Amino acid sequence: MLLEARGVTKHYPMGVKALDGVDLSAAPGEIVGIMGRSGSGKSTLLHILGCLDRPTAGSVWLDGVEVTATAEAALPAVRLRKVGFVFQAHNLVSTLTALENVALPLRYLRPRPADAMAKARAALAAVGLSDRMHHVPAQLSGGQQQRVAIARALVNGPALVLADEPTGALDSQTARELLALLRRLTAERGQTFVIVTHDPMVGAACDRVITMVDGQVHP
Amino acid sequence: MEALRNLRRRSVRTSLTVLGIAVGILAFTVMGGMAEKINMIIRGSEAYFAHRIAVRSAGGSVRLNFLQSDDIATVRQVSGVQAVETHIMLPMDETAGFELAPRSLVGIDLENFQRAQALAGQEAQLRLWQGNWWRPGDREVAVLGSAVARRMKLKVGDPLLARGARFRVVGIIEETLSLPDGWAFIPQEDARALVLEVSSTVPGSDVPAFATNAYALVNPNEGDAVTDEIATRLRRGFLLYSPQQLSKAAAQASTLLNTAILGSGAIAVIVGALSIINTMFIAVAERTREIGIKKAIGASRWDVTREFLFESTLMAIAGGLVGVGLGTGVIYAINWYTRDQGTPVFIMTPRLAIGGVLFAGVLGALAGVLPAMRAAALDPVEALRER
Ligand SMILES: Nc1ncnc2c1ncn2[C@@H]1O[C@H](COP(=O)(O)OP(=O)(O)O)[C@@H](O)[C@H]1O
Ligand SMILES: [Mg+2]
Repeated sequence: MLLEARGVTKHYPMGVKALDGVDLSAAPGEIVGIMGRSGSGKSTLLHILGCLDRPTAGSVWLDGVEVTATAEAALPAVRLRKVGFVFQAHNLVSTLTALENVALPLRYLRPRPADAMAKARAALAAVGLSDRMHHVPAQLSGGQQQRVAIARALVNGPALVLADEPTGALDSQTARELLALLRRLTAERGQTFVIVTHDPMVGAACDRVITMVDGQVHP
Repeated sequence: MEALRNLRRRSVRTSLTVLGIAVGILAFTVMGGMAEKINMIIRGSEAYFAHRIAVRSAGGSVRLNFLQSDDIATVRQVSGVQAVETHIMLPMDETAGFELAPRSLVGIDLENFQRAQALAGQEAQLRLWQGNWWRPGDREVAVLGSAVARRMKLKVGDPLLARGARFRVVGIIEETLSLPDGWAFIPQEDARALVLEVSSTVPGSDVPAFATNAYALVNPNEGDAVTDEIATRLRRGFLLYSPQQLSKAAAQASTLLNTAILGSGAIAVIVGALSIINTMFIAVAERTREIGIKKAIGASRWDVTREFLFESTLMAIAGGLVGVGLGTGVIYAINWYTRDQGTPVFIMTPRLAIGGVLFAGVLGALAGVLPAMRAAALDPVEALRER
């Protein structure tokens, strides 16, 4: 398994149980859909799977490493090399051009790859935005901005791509195109892809769908 | 570059912050220019006195104790003393003592003076800028320090009028930016006549050969020992200054002055740095979402810290450059307006300029520390919930 979560629990003060013993696993190249009502704990789970947050209890293995036992200071490097995130909207740094946004993860790599800009250009080309390279986010449509975010999530070649309602702010036509693109690109690269969505059509296209209810996986 | 673009995006705020630093560095530079001038005077005096033990009258209102020829002979006989240079020094006019480079008439014996020049160090040597020294035996002639020449608008060939006497200017000395700039050298006999003219009580019997100041020329490292020896041999009523004592006193004075002057300039810069802290905290608050994204991508705490530190340092260095530029302008303007003083009031030096910019940069980096640490400490999940 590339990704393995066991008994993942997240409690917040005042007795909020955002997650309550979630088990989940995904094989390399698998596409997993997560569905569920708002507040059911989908984002919380995704953040924990992506090493952005830590569970109160339970453990997560990513690519053979128990990331829940990894020191806090080592987690940025795990995110940098193994995880790509796409959020619902406002994924981009507004002062940077599309190309610079895509190159951002490469900036934090040590040592810094010599062909960083070439890689970023290739990633932008893969999402069909070569002609928008030097535009800043404000000059791009919502769909284009999400495509830049996808290029950035993929530029480092992470083993795991996590998307949290990536089409939630788009019209249905654009949303469908974007999802097709994401599925194609992750499939081409053999990446494991976990996507949170409300759209049953998207769910139907996944290898497997889990449904969350009140912080638990609904059977 | 991202940092520059961030600064430009909030250009009004950035400009005001940069201006705050610039004003501080301006004050720092101008005050530093004053300190540099004082340092120059102190360094010049130190160089001048490095090879000299100064012997001066201890004063007293009833009887001014001039150095007589047998006093000079006593000093000369002390072992370690290579020569004794004698001056007859008197203020050029009643108010000259309050000037930036106090103007004095300095009576010298040419031969005696030149021997001392040869024995003193390179740094203490006075070089002619124009004209020549007078020939032995000439009277009513003068060689001027640069500040005297400039202030009194005198060229070689002009007459110098001082204390009712008239001297023909035969030479002008290169600017030293220190005390000799305010001196006008005249033949010892002329100076002696001027002193006798105003002295109601003729000092002692040895009228033809007295001096107000004497300098025993010695090896700099023997200063203290020879000074002690002179003190035991010479009659009472004189003050002795050894080179070591003088340089210790000079070092103390210059440390004190530099601290006081630069310290007050530094306060101005620190006030400017506070505005950087403020600006950077606002920037962190505004860019919470951006910080969350960068952390989600994999930026480490240090990556985030560095980006904000870089921005604050950049702003401060910009302020430093503007401040040093303005300060240099102000210094040149003040010196231009006060040029009839004969000597610059402020001195702009490379180390002052570099120091000003570096100081700004260091303060900018320090000012960025707290805001950058706050940015680095943001919880990415919470940061991503913004906007
Ligand atoms: N920082 C927090 N403090 C308290 N409760 C939180 C916090 N973050 C999330 N929650 C709660 O956890 C639950 C799950 O949230 P979330 O994972 O965002 O749900 P979803 O993404 O499925 O809409 C919600 O009830 C939410 O209110
Ligand atoms: Mg959510």
